[in-house]
Amino acid sequence: MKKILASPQFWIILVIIATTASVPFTASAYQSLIFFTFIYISLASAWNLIGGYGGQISFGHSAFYGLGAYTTAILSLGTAGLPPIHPLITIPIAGIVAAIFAIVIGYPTLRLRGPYFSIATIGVGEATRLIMLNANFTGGASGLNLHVPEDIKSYAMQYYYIGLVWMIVVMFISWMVKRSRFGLGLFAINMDTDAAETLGVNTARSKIMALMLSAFLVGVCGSLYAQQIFYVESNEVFGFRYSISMVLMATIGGVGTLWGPVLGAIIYFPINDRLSTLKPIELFGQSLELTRLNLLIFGLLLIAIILGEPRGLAGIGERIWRKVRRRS
Amino acid sequence: MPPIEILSLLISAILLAGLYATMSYGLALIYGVMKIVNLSHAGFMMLGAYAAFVLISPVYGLEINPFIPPLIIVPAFFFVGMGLQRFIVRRVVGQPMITSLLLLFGLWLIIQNIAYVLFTADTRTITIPWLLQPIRFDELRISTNRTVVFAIGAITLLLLQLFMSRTMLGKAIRATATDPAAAALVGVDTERVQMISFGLGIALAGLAGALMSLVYSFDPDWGRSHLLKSFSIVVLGGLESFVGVALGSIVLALVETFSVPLGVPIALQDLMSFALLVIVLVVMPGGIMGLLQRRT
Amino acid sequence: MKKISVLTRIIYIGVAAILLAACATPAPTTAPVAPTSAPAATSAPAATSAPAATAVPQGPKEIVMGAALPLTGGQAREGGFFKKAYEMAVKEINDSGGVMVKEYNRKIPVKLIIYDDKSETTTSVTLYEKLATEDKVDVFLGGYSTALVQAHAVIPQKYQIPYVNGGGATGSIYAQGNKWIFGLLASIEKLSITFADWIEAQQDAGALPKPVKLAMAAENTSHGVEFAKGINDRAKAKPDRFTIVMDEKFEINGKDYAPLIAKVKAANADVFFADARIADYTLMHRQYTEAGLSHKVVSYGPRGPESAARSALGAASDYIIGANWWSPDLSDASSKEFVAKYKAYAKEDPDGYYAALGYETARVMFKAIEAAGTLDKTKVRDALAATKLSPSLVVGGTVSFQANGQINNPYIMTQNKPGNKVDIIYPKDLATGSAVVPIPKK
Repeated sequence: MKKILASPQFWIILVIIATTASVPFTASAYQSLIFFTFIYISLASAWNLIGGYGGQISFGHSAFYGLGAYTTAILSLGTAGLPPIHPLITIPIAGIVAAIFAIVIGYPTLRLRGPYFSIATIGVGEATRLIMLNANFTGGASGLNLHVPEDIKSYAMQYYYIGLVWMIVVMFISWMVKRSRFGLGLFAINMDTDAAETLGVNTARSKIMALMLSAFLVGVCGSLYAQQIFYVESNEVFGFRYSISMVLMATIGGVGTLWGPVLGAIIYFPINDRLSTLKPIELFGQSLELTRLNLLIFGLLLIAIILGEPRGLAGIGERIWRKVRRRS
Repeated sequence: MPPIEILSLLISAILLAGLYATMSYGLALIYGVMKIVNLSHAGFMMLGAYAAFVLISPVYGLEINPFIPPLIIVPAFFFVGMGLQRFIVRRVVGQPMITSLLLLFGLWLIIQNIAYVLFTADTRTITIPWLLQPIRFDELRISTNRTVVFAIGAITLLLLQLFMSRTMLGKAIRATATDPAAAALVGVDTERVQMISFGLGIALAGLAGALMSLVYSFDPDWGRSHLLKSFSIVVLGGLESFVGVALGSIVLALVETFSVPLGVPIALQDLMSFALLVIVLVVMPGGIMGLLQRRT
Repeated sequence: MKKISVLTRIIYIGVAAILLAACATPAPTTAPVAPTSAPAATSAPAATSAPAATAVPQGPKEIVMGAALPLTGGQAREGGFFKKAYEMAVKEINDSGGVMVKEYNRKIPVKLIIYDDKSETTTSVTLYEKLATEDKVDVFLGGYSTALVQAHAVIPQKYQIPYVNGGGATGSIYAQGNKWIFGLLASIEKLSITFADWIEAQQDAGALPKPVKLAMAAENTSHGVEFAKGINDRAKAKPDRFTIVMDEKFEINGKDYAPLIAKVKAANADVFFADARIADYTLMHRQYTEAGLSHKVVSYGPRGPESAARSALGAASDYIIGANWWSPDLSDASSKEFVAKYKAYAKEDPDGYYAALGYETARVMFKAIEAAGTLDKTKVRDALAATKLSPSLVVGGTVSFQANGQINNPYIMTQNKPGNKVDIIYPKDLATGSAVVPIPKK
């Protein structure tokens, strides 16, 4: 314990947390932006557990996200024959529903290796979307509208802190997993599944557990999303867009690292957001509206990062650190 | 259901399979040789469609005969593809799949944006009246434009197969796909092979786009839903062979088309392809070709 | 391991700091606000008409209006029309000096901010929030497409900023008790009611049988669902008039409608209704024509007269009936005026209702601010609720909102005629031609 208190990292993190916690009072304009950044950081870190640590690249994680969102929506509205439940209570339930789904799809698909698993997850993600789009209890294509509370602003502030706390929880879990034997097993599976098996790692069980944990965390994120936007709709929450964004964030930041997904999420979400609102620049006497090029800029950014440092921003950090060390 | 209807649906399914196969060849080739999933495939299909549009549509005043654009587009895209491979994609071969995936995703975004700037977001369609007149045999009516696409797709398949099995380059490509190290040992210039394969893959994407532009409306966002379906097909077929793609396309098209008269609601038609994908992967990861090869 | 973490953490702080710094600089506009020299010229007389001696407050430099529209992605085409329409309306009002705000006794020019939500729901929501919190807009202008509007409708409520849109039609948007949103599109339910009424009129005139057999295919979105429900409700209420022989939903971006068309053929209906977006409408009708199908009445919901579809389908699109919120062929003065203005501004004809409704949305907002006499958001909201804008290009000639914020004006129905013509066939006082029912077989 003393060691943690003594380390400079701890204090840096504390300062960052304190700053972010003060946002609703100091910079409330960005409150919503930062809340969603929390969600995205949590999503990326959660995906990283199975995709980064475990090396099982899932393109279907939006299934868990959507299940979490719909669980909260359905339970809080009191449809599907059950009485309405307070949204906050639905949060852990949402996570559990997602985790159960992870078991259901995990058993058949986690047996697959490499790209086969990834493609299977695409199938699962899209199949889930289509099923939920057509089911009756989900409200079908019309989606579900959650109750909007009277005082939205204080509600939003409350959820800002819930989001902050949740992100810290997810990061903590990610850190714990990385240090644990379980995490070590995952890394071993990532490098060479067969070797790991011979070394005594129960690969099947580890993979399923990682997927379940990942699903639980993503499901909770979905639940928080629903409680912030008040409207869930299949094509959005089960969409391929969320799946690919999780993969993108973790990879840009650096899969398999603790802070990689965090960096990736920051690049992906707030920067993408800012790209939509750039000032037109003057070039060769013509006013060039940069927002018309937001896709292009983001694409170039992606390519630059991938080509420059395939291990993502965390890898860049590592290289800079090595150069700094060499000079000192 | 009256037999004429069944026949009509069967023909529809086969023609649909032709469309599906055409849009999947490029993806299969690039994956087979370089083990890279080309996410920008959708982008190049879209560019192929726009290229055909520019050449055929009266809007730009060129109004070329619809059979000519593929002959222009294929070589053009081939060189673009080779260039891309040489300067960009080459750097990520051999790295974890995810790297190339995201690189090509970034490329797709860039392509989309270029299309938005050049062509705006308007939905475009190519209308060639004689292509819209169905071929008629008594009661039976067959879609002309889909038949044209099928025919060109079939010819392409044939040419590809011949190329792969008869020419030295084709054999080199197959060798590299099977085992790059071994291929290098026997003197295959794997770098050159990869460059050509990528170029060919992109050319096939452009061809697919040019052909499909005769059937579908498109805008810069087009291609996304086709891409997901192509994944299913390539996997169904066995990920690494053209004939596999063709077989996978036929199976998928048949399942989708005939599930409806068998009672599946139309809204769930797409679900068929994804469910099939997952089942095939779980039950026989080698796809159809894997199944066939195991028998021999 | 530990050392890398420290460095990455420092990078985290650095990146976050840079971002916060970048965010701290005021978010600039993206849409070129038709730069006219007029505002400068007209604020001079405003200065003289409000002599420094009186206690009339100077007021803000400009009225900030914001919107997030799909400019890329699946809805980009329509979003682009709305953008042009908003810009045209803002340019027009600024050319005349701005909106007259009685509180400051002068006309204040409008600054328009438009962001691209990429047709993405979450982006749409966060952009409207940004408009509220960072750009500090006075009022919102609406977005496009039901799903996006439904998602971001909570933002006007959260920040209590008035919002008017011409792009979201499903009734459920306005069924949530949200007092801050208003819409110029009548509900989709009303669309199906209009159709049903029209069919009944045709039956009474002997052009269609009683009961009429309906085959229905609706896109699997809230738009399609509401449409199908409306028709189903009518069929249940009047079984002697309507028999539904097919009721299917289909996924958007379809690749092959052959099985659907086969089902339609097997259903042996008199009337074929579909609710589809333009790409699907084009593909479906092509395959419908290829299969040699024909019905007494064919409709694709709010589709039909779009020039893109007519050129894609050729003669196959003749006689298709549509119901819409507006048509460029309307002959009332307001509509004609709009068409002329839009042609001059955008150098193209308006296609569909999008630009017209966008323009009118902006106009409604301007008038509400004028009526309120202030930029106080609650008062503007109240003025919006009490809007009675006339003359207006909306069908019926007047814009006024129901208690739930949605307009309830009638639809017009159109029928494509050979030779690339379009006739308005309903209501009678706006009709430019009569309906041809049953559709002649080819």
